[in-house]
Amino acid sequence: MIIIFYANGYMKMYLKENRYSVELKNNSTLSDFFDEIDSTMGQTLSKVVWDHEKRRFRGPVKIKIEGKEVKTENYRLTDGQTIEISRLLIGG
Amino acid sequence: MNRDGVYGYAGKELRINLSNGSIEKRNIDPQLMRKFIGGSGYGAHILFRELSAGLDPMSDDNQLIFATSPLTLNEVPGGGSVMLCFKSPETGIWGEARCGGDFGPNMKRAGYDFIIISGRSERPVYIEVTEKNVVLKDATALVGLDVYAKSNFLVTNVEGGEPKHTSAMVIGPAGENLVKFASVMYGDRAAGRGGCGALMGHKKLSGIVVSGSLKVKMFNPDEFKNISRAVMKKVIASDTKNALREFGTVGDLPANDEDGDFPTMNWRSNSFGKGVEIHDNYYENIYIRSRPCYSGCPISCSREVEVKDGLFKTPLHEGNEYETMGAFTAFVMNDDPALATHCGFLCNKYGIDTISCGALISFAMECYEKGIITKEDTGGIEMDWGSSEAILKGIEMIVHRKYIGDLLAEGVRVAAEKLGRGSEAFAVHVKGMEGPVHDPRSGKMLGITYATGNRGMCHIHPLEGMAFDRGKMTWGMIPYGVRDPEMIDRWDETGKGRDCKILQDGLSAPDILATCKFMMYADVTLDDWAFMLAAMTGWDINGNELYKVCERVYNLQRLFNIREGFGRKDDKLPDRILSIPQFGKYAAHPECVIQNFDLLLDEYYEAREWIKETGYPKKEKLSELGLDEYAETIENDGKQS
Repeated sequence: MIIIFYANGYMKMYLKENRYSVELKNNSTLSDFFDEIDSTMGQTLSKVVWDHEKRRFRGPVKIKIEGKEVKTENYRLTDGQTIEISRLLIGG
Repeated sequence: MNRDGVYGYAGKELRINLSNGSIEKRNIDPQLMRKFIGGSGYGAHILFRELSAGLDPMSDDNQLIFATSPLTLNEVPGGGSVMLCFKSPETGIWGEARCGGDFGPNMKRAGYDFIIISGRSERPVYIEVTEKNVVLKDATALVGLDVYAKSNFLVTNVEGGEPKHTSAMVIGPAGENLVKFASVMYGDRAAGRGGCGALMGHKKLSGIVVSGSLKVKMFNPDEFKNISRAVMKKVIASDTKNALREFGTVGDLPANDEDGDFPTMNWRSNSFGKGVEIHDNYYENIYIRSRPCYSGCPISCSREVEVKDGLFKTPLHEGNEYETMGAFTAFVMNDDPALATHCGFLCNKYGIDTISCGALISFAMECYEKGIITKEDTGGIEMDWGSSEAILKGIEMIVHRKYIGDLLAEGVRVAAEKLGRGSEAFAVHVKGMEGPVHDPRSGKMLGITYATGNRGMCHIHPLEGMAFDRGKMTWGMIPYGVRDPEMIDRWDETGKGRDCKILQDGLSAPDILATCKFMMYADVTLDDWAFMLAAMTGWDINGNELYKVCERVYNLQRLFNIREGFGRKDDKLPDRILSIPQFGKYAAHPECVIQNFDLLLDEYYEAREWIKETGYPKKEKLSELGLDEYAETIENDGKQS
């Protein structure tokens, strides 16, 4: 299945493209999505936003699927879904 | 409603003259409240009216104001704050510092909206304020005690108070030793910048404890409850609230470093290159949990931290936020967050501003490197970059005014003036206030923010320019004319002077309301504040009128500074900030440096309707803002063209 993901707001500074598509096996989860990102982009993504060792986003990064925030990594993805990734600048 | 007909206020200002021990309870003036509301607004009115031009800030006549507003209330998102206003001992200009915690709400429970302290006691005293009594008490036995011991004494020895609603703010040894950037502390929370602790030290005032159970009358309690609950829900649902609770402000550290917003080695560079390691080490080994700084906070950005063992073992406390972490890592070239955490703890214990303290140590390190100071000046310590001994002893030297610390305790502007030998070139400050841990070489708005901020080189009073340029934050200010930052590159300059003006005014609201600014990061708008105010006070006020109050207050604080001789010539940036970073990622990116600062400043003045040549507000502008009578004072002093 194909999952589309894109960066929003501040996160755009850290991704080269505005929009990516990732091919995953059917019934993949958010965790599988992370693994795929790591294997394809993990070495090139800024370590500010991507923890290559843990294969997860680092810091205040928010993941929304179809407009709703998702935190559970066993969330099951479906073909054609769109994932929005945003990083927050907190201030202070 | 209090007996004078002002809903939402306790109705009284408490005036204490420490020189003669007089205690006076005055009714507040409803018209002035409508005009300035409270916090840094009413503080600006009082200090402008009652301090004479050119007054030595370390003289008995300087005043220290503890100010609240109708929104100082635990039920209001961000309502657990108090604003301290004063003429700054460090800068000699407008001084304000906000402190989180329950002191503000408990001050109102004791029956006072404002506590205004003048004069100077002959012996050390502290003030006990309850709804039944106001007493000056002997504090001789407290002298030399640290912040924690003093606070504990004051809170546990209140007579006739309400134990559940008792709070103390105190100074530590730094304030007693008149360190010009000493803080006034509420536990680990600080009214940090500008040296209000030094002013309290000068007044021989060790602390204030407030306690009470009074409730203010609201104009429309049901409406207020509905609105404040709706705003609270909005905050709870916001993305920023979740990020702040989970990561605190330290969560920004890796990205700030990467983006050139992490001043390093006394601002020689804007990136350290170790942000990720510091952040991860901190979260894996030091961070314990998040906590609120006042009862009811929906965000809980504070961090409980502990260094369990090792060289820098540090007890559990409410520890480093981003600024402190940056001041004791990148500023001084230290990559160990345990050391930085320990430094933050020491600063809290001694009652000293962590930003200025880290800045002064980094300045001393550069002086040492260049041979401007030697081991003879440091008591034998080698002030090498990154040296834990130099950093820790540096704090002690400043707090206790030993060796070169005696000079550093005066702030970087004075220290550089006295040391000379070229040190002025790397003394990074605006109007005498040392720069915080954000670098305008990460985005241009921060430069104009620093140059024009009324209290000097400050990132948050009133505006964090970098959050617009990189974070793409608007704080709900697009309806007031701010452009959409998504459409603007961080290196662009055109238009940012105007954007800065609008954002400075809008983000002054929490300072005037004595509320937490982070609520505006979590989607609270000027309309939200205004509608809570309206339900609380009965005023017919909306976001637009609140915005006008903010603009009025910003201009009045500017007039305060003009009266002290400040103007366009002082709205400038340190050379380091206008120079290409000497190393790091951005050394090859000259576009990170502001290309035409004068143009940016012209644009800002134009938006403010200030005179371009002088930086003074135009008469018509002051008239529009209802500030004619204040302008006359300036004109009589010959400062207004």
